Amino acid sequence: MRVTTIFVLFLCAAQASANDAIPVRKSNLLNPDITVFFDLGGSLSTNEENKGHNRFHLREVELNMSAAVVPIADAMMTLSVHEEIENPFGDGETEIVTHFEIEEAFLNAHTLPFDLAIKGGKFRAAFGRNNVLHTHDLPQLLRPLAVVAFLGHEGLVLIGGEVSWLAPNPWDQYIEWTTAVANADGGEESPLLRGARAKNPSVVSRIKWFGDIGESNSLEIGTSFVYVRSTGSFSETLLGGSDVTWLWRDPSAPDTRSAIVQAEFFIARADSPRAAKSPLRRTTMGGFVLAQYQFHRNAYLGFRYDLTELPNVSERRVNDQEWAASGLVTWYYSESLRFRLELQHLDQEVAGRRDSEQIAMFGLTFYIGSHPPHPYWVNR
Amino acid sequence: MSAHKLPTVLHALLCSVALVVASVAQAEIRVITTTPSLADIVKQVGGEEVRVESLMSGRANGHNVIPRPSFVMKLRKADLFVHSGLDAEPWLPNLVHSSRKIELLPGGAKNLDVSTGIRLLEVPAADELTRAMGDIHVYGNPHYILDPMNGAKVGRTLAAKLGQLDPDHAATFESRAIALEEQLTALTARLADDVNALGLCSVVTAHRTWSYFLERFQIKKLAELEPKPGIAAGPRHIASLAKSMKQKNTRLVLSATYGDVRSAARLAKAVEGRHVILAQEVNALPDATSYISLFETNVKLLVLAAQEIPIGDEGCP
Repeated sequence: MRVTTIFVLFLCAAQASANDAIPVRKSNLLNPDITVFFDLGGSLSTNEENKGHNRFHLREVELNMSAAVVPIADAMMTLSVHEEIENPFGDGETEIVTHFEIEEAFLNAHTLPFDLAIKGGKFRAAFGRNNVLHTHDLPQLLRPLAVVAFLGHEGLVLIGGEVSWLAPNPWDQYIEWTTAVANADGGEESPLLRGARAKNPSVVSRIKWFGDIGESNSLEIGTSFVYVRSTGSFSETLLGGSDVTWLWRDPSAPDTRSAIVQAEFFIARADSPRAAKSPLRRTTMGGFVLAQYQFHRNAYLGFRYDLTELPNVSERRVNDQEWAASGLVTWYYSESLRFRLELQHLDQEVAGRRDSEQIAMFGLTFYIGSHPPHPYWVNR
Repeated sequence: MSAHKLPTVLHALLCSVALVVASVAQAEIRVITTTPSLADIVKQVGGEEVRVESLMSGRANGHNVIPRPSFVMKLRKADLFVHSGLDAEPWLPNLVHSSRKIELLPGGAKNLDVSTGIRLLEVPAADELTRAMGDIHVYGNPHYILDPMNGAKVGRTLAAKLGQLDPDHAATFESRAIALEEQLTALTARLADDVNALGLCSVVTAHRTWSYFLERFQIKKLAELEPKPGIAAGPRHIASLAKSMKQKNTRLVLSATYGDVRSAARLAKAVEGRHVILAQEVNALPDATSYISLFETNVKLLVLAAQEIPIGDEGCP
């Protein structure tokens, strides 16, 4: 209740500043760009035990504010409200909890000498391509299983500092190296990264090459890692990832025909303490491949295949894994209103128990406020 | 080396150094533009003193460009970055930040917004601005380059900036901008006569791309195919529009090479008219190879289409 009140007050404050603009007062001209994203949805599932499905969802409402602080630096803040179904499978009472959180709040000095950029605050980690996306920007309705398994339901969000360097090279290629020193514990939902027991700060690093291939294709190849130490049952975790994104646009109809293929792969190695009598090393892997084809100015078809082991299941068995195949249709009514329909087959094998589920999901995404910059990665 | 050869060698060395220095001093100004039309105007004004390249292709929709990696690398080497300004190219802020060059930031020494001084059309009133108006451009219609006289103003803006970067050639840039303006003025007068001779009642445009072009050549716009900017036309809207077009004896539907071309063709067919795809940019159509030929091509296409559809006895109701 308190959370809702705070958020309503925040929205009222934002609305008040918008109303104050009529008539325009000069004191308001420096207000930040304010955008509110709404991401709503619903789902039907063959698994009636899963109370997280067969219902409508408030997937996320996101209040985003951004503005220049000085010519070379911008500030951005994202407040997120989303619903979570607690205990969806349990025999006990299922509860819908509304979470209110500062998803991101950072200063981004984007243009510094020596081709550097520095970010400080709370921000999504530059680990692969999917992790940096907000929920409403996801190419599909749900995050890939491997991202959830390795980085947590909301992905990996850091509190700390990040330096990125556009490395000069004799081939005149776009090569960027990003390194963050931050609290990378991943929160409660990613015990692989040690949660509250992690010895912070940790190190997150990524290097990517981004190049043109001919007149109508571009390719991005990246590799990332996170290193975390802890005092818990495992002394250290090294999480690595690699990703490839290929983008094509039809040169004769760049506005209406395009395609994207993206793949990410994760591998985690968690060691037990050196003092342990029988050191245990656990290596887990996962990944996904997605493709999206634009066949009309406002319509897209997509497909994703997920396969992952479950690094965060404490008693992991050799065969534990989950996989899913999903198909998606997206239609934009305008830049600010989008509809999506996704069908997913999900197959899980955990602790010797195998379950499969067919899920139909739909999503409605819209925003009000200033127009955000176009996303850099997606073929829209 | 014998002593008497030393002065000769020194002289040769000095000459080489002088040549290198001279070539550096006379180096071309590297200009990157967002659109091919701006690139052509830069070429007209800058002449041999500039080397210019456009980031976008002629057929691209400037509102919806996915920046390519090479854009960043080209931008980083530019002495001058020329863009349309306003909110015409919403992908620019990310691109400019990615370049990590402070001179390329808005207001920076290498950043030139050529919308300065342009009289904008369709500027929404601040107190009426809402998303109910569609994908609206908050500063006004950004397709100003489709008025040749705006191209002349852009030429003047460019000449002033190039003159700052290369003061030795400032007068040359200015005289070229004046020559371009004279050329465009004469072109406009000639093409306006061609358009007037058609006796067009009015036209329908697919999007607001053509507002400046229509105003310059005094072509009346009956309506737009899109019910609101960025909103696709449904069958009912197309049927209603077809009815209005028939009542007003309007037979031409104009569109760019991008956008909802199919609906534009469907509407033209419904009124037994013509769908005319015009060049919104240099190189959008094969004949539109320069800023001047862009207008020649567009008017020629209009004339050809209009000649196929006589107005008839009913005139322009």
